[in-house]
Amino acid sequence: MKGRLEDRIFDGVNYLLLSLIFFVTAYPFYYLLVTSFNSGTDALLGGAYFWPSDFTLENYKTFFNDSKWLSALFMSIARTVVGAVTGVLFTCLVAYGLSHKGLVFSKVYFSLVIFAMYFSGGLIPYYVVLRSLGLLNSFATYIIPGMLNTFFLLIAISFFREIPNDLKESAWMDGASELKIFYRIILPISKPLIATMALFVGVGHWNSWLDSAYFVRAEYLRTLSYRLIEIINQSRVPQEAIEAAAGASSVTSYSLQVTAMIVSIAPIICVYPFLQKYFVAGIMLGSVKE
Amino acid sequence: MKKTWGSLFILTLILALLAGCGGGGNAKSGSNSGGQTGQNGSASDSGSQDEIVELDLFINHSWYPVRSWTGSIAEEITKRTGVKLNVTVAADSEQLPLMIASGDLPDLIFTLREPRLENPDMSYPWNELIEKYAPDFEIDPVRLAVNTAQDGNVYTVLNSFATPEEWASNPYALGNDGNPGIAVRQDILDELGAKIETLDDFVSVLEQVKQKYPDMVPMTMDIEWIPQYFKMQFGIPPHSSWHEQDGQLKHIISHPKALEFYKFMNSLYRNGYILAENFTYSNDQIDDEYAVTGRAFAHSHTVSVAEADNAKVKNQGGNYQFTMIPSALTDEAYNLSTGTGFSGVYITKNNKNPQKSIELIKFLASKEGLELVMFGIEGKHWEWHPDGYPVFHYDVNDAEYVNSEGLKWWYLYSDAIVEGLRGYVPGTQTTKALQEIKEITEHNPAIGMVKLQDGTDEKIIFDKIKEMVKTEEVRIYLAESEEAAEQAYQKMLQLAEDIGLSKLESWATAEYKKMQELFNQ
Repeated sequence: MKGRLEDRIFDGVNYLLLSLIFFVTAYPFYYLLVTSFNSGTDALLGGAYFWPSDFTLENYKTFFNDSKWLSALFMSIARTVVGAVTGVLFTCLVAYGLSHKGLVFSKVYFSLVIFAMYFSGGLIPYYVVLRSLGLLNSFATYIIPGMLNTFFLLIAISFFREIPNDLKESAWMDGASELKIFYRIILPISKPLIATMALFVGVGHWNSWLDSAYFVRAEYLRTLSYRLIEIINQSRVPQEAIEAAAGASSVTSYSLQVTAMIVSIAPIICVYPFLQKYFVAGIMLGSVKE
Repeated sequence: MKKTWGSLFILTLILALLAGCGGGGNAKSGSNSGGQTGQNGSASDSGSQDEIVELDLFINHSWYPVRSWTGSIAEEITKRTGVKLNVTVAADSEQLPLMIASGDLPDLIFTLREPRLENPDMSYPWNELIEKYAPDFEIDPVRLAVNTAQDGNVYTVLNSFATPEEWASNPYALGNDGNPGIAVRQDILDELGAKIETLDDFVSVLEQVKQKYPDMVPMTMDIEWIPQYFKMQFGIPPHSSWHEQDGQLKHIISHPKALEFYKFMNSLYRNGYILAENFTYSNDQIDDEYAVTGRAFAHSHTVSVAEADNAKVKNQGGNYQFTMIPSALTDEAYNLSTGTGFSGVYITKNNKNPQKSIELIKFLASKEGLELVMFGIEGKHWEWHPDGYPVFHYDVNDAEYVNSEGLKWWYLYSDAIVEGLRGYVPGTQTTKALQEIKEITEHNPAIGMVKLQDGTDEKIIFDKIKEMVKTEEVRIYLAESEEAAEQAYQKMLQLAEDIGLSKLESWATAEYKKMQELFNQ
């Protein structure tokens, strides 16, 4: 089974290029990992590129001993779990309703959804709406606005439409209610869809910092991504400020920043492999109609 | 299976419900506490000083190192004034505009001068509050002139400002680290047997280093601090975008000495004293690395560069030291301070207790308030030296300690004199460099008051010129010959003219004259 010489050369070059791309993509993460295990002052001098030159767990100790970071981590996990579960469930419910072929006024509903997907009021009107709904400075501000995801709504509708109607009809004849059909029949066969949605919505929640910065004021509601922005901001003192404010200097340790980044990347990287098999199937959903 | 899905569904609903209720509850309790504090406020209006008033403070500087009202200074301020601040620090520069647009303002805002807050619908004018609640709170006329808004009211007074007279009256009040300086390797200087007293000395030492230490870069420069030190030597204001010429306000690129300065910078590059890549450094640590790993002879940054480098070298077990070269190497050396201050507090119309707010500022502006914030608690943190400067019991440069105690950063009202005294540590190289700079510094706040407003034609011209200069300047620095450098400079001037330099300058001159009149009143 020897391939032709050209094929082997082609493969070789391919492997080489792909390895190079892999290295370029993965190395920054690896570098963060190394730096997070390196002692702070030593890291600033450079030199630790592949292995910590001065190994320490100090950065992680500092991180996990700081109640501010811990509460942010907890808040991030809470909003991601609650946000993903509610987001997926509500989006699916709405999509299931809209996927019914004979739905009255379905065009109106669709226009509303599509309009909302393409146009947004902008930050200030959004803020004012949140305020008038009493959602400012509460955990709900993370959850409620994200419960309906218009993009996934459209994907879910086309997914549900592909489920043979006979399946629903037979359950209907056996005496199942619509709600029962939804969670006993539709949801179990929609695992690829649900996994994909959960991943995207979850990552969105995990990474989102804007709402934590703008819409809440209570310190306990701050999320991990907000704390990351905060610590990065602190190390970035603008030139004007240095000239104007008497010697503004920062104490933020670069290693602590890096440690926070690692802690914030880790959960996503850990969850990803388990969802990947659904993910590949899921992203193709609705792309081809038969 | 049925159970799992069912219970998951119910759990989700409950969680969502809880979240919703929690939110509503919070919002309610928030407004309640607001109402209560308001009542507390009115209670204290009638004389009671015991109750603590909580006010929300928004700090519009995302890099701000202190983020909560903790530490001994904050506690002391609360003890003396009965005011406790709930601090929020901006996440980015969009947050304040959002607050202004939505009308959701906190009690107090600490920010750079913000024209959008300077009207009676947004903020309380200080002059009205002072008249009503604190008639004995006096602010000197120069400060008032500098901070007067377009409508004639004073909505804030910026810190980090001192009048020329105040600067002159206190020999120990120096500038801050935002001043340029160059440090050189003392061991190499000794070996060469050289001294640096003039600009020519400096250049000749760079040449000797280049000859004798071919592995070394003669000079490495911090990316943010490339031109400032040398501009100063040629008599060009290092920080200002403007200079005064025969009563006219001119852009800095048309300074009579500019060409000479650019030719000098270009010669540094052409003679191989600075690397071309120095102009492309993406962060401000590469030059530090060159300096502290022994690969560079001279390091240009701020007045504290020698001490900062020495500390790092010592940490690494290095056996050499950096020394500052004099701040003035020529007779023309000149520094212009156009500062009108850094940031100030706006008391917004949403303020729960304007009386307490202005009283807090009045306390911070008093001698004891100023000293408490900048130096600390007298006896514990510092004491007066018989000569009239504070002696500190802590390292003022130990940022970790300073921030944890809340020293310095609660300077919601302050002045450059106390701030400057904080930097006076006799015997250090930084202090010496600052003293040298003070000798060549002139103050002209009227220039600093010429402020370009967003959206105006002048601002657009100014920004365009600024962008253009950024790229064209590097072309001059890196020109292959002196003639090419001169051509590049002329081209830069021509481009600026095409963008609208004359229009900008005549506008600036008119504004400048107005500001001068304000001072003469």
